[in-house]
Amino acid sequence: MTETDVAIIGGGINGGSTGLELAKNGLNVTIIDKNFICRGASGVNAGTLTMHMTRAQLIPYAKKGWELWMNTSEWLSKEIDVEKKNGLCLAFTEDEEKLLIERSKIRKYYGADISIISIKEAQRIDPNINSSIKCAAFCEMDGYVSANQTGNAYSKALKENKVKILENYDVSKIDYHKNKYVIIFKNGEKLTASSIILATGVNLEKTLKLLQINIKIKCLPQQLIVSERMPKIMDTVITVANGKLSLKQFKNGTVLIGGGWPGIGNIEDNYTETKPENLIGNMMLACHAIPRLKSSRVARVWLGLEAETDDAMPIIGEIPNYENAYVIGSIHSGYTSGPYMGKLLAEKILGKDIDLSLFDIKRFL
Amino acid sequence: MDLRVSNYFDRSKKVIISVNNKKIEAYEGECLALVLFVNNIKKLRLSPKKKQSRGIFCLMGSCQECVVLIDDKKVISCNIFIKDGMKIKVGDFDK
Amino acid sequence: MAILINNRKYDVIVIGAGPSGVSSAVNCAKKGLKVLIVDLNSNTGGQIYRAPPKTYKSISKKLKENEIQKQLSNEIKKFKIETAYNHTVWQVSPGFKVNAFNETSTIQWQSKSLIIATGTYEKIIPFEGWTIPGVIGLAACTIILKAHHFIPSKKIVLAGNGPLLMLVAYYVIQFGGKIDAIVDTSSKIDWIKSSFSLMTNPKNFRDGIKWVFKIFLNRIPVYSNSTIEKAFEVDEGIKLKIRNLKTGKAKNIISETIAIGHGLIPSTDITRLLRAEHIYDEQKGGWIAKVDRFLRSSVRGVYLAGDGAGISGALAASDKGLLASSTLLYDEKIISQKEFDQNTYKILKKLDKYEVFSKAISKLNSTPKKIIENIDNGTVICRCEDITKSEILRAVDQGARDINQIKSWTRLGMGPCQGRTCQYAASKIVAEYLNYEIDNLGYLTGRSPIRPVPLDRVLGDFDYEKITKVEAAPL
Repeated sequence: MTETDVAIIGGGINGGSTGLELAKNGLNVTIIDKNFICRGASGVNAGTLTMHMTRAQLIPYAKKGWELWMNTSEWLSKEIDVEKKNGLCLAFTEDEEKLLIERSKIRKYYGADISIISIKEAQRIDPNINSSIKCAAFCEMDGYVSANQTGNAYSKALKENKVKILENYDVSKIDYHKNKYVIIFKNGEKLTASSIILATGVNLEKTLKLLQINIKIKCLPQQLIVSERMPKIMDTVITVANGKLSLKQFKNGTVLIGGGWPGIGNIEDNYTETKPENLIGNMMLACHAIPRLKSSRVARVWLGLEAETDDAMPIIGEIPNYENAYVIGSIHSGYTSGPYMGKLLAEKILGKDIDLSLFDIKRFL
Repeated sequence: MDLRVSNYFDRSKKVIISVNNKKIEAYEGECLALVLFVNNIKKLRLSPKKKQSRGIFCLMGSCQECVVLIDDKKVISCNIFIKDGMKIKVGDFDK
Repeated sequence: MAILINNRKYDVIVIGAGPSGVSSAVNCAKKGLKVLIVDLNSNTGGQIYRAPPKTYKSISKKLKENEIQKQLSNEIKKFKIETAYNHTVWQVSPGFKVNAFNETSTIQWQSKSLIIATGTYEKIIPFEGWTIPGVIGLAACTIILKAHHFIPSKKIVLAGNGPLLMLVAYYVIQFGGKIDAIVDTSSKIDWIKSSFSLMTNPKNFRDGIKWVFKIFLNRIPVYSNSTIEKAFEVDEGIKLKIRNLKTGKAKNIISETIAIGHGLIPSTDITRLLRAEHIYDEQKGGWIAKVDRFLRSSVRGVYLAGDGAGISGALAASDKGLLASSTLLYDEKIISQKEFDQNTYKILKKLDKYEVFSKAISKLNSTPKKIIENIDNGTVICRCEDITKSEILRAVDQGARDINQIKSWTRLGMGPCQGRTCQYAASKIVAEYLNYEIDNLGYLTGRSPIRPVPLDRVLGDFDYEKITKVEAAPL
């Protein structure tokens, strides 16, 4: 039976970032994934790093996360493309204008440097946007990551920091006695750990049950659409007032349409299926925002399973009734703030005085 | 040498299409990809990273290599039948 | 909205109007089922009997393949089967909903059962220079010759392996073209060895003899045990280096066009989308949908006709169509156990006979290890995204261990062809490099759309107010 200081179940960016920070501080870390590193939501999300879609209370964390993303060569890897872009959030109707002004004001209160700008100013920032907008919200702190490279970047960084990675290891049971955790895998192997971190994303409900913790985690099957490569048609990250669109053109010319239009999916067999009517709504919204997009062809559609708690706020911190057991997950816009959240949890585990009370799992128990 | 084989079928009427504004004669209904190929217009587009010329390849709508622009829209030319006056663009149209 | 929802529910939608699609559609229509047959081409025939363009007027002389195609179309008309030609299927979802687009719009049909008769595409092992315009598929060449009635160029080199080499050579000569060389990875002994098995199918065997005879009479240089190692553009056309895999000897020739092919790969686009189970069977063309003896897939209501669940060739195609559709009719309780047994007994016996033949063909189409090893590190493998062999191997060195991980890390297979052109060769390269069984690498997850969809055709003209309203995201 092998032993480790910290066993992290779930190799997405939450588990990965926590593990990386712990390993950098000298702990012996093992990351376990039932598939491959960052092959779930962490590797298939839209990669948007925007404040315009972030939940107000999470803005301070998203800002820190954004700064980490802009600096990946220092703490993660050079193997991942990150671009800083201006962010424009558009309102097409008077109702949307009201909503945008109100939401931007609240986000600004929480620390996002967002300002409401006129049509003219918006068009100066990106001449490609639909000229029929009522107004826009502008934020310099925006950009994107090529999320498909997340797995490569994290696995490289983790290995360089001597983190042991167990891929294709599915946990069937966690035993706890004498302050030690014994993780039993479906293949019969076992791993003993002094502390454990559960970071299984959309599977968190199931994983928490292994420790007799029952909370509800919703599974949101989100559709993503990517065009084939096309000439440059936009130069900003575009979002809309109600938060149901994220749109950007990568350096390679492909345009990614996201925004959380649901498809069909379930966690049990990791099954996903597109919902054509929602694809169409999402595409229409995108083509309305950037009209030239309509001349392109859709190259691929896929789905990611996003986790959400009942109050749509994260759960991060200690697991009650257990020593040295922690949880991290269900972070709204989690890709942006994930690296920072992981770092915070790691610092807490290492003994620093970190306040995670906002994310305490006890609120659901 | 005309590369058309006329032992089995009569082509119908001759028409004119334009490729990058150059006029080319063809028969109505012929496969666009082939008309381009036998007229020595083999370089249809550029590959995304290396910017190498690409041309027809699988001819059954699978490989997507034979994409050209007709009326500024991307189409796979192996699945297009010639119509009189068709305006086609080939080359570096992804710029 | 340009998406038309056709609410008429069909009993069966047959995807693909080749010989197997047609035979299964007819079999179902005969029993009174409401059938729709969909194809991307403008007529029946599939690739093997691809129809000439509608504007071509037939004259006295007839080509056998064109005649067979006509019969298929007549069958469809005779049984008044609904058709949707010129429709490219881009999404199939459980239930079943089939989405397709034509020149102007997108349409959705629904059906209780599906028969997938989407055939194959060509397997082509990359070599340095295979992306040069003027290097085309052997199967593409058959379409140029037999459906469109063109000779591809004044001079041509045919390369790869299997019977398609001989068939294409025959038609190029017959139509008045010049063949500079035939480059075959198999040896003459391989051909002689396989001839006994090939004789089990006298009709095809006779054709084969006819082809070989023509090649011999026209003194076409045949390079056996050889492969094209490299090709590059020169003023006169394409210069290529032929390498003998046994002796190591090389020879350069200059020609205009290279047509190359190494056999066929079953199309699994739709079965992968439907998350059906797939198995790897090298002999049957690589990854194929798993079917039982009666061609049921692992997804209830989905049947595989033709070469989709393993290559067995054109002659077996219509029988496989009959088998798949008879199974469907039995499962739907339209025919009795007795009728089903009667129908299938003969077909299964016939198919077993074809199996000997197709095994021999598949042997001739096998991929020599050496040509995988010989691929230069700088060679582009994924044509859509310009991903080279060394980029793939770099991802493997960094720890990628399945094809979807390689896809994520390198963008291989993320382009408009969705990996149809490169998956086979890329997997072979990685398996060879890691000394892995190829099936351990898995297959690319099926993703919609299976062909790129023009956004304007899906969306049409729309008003902002018409966009489905969704609940705002939480603040």
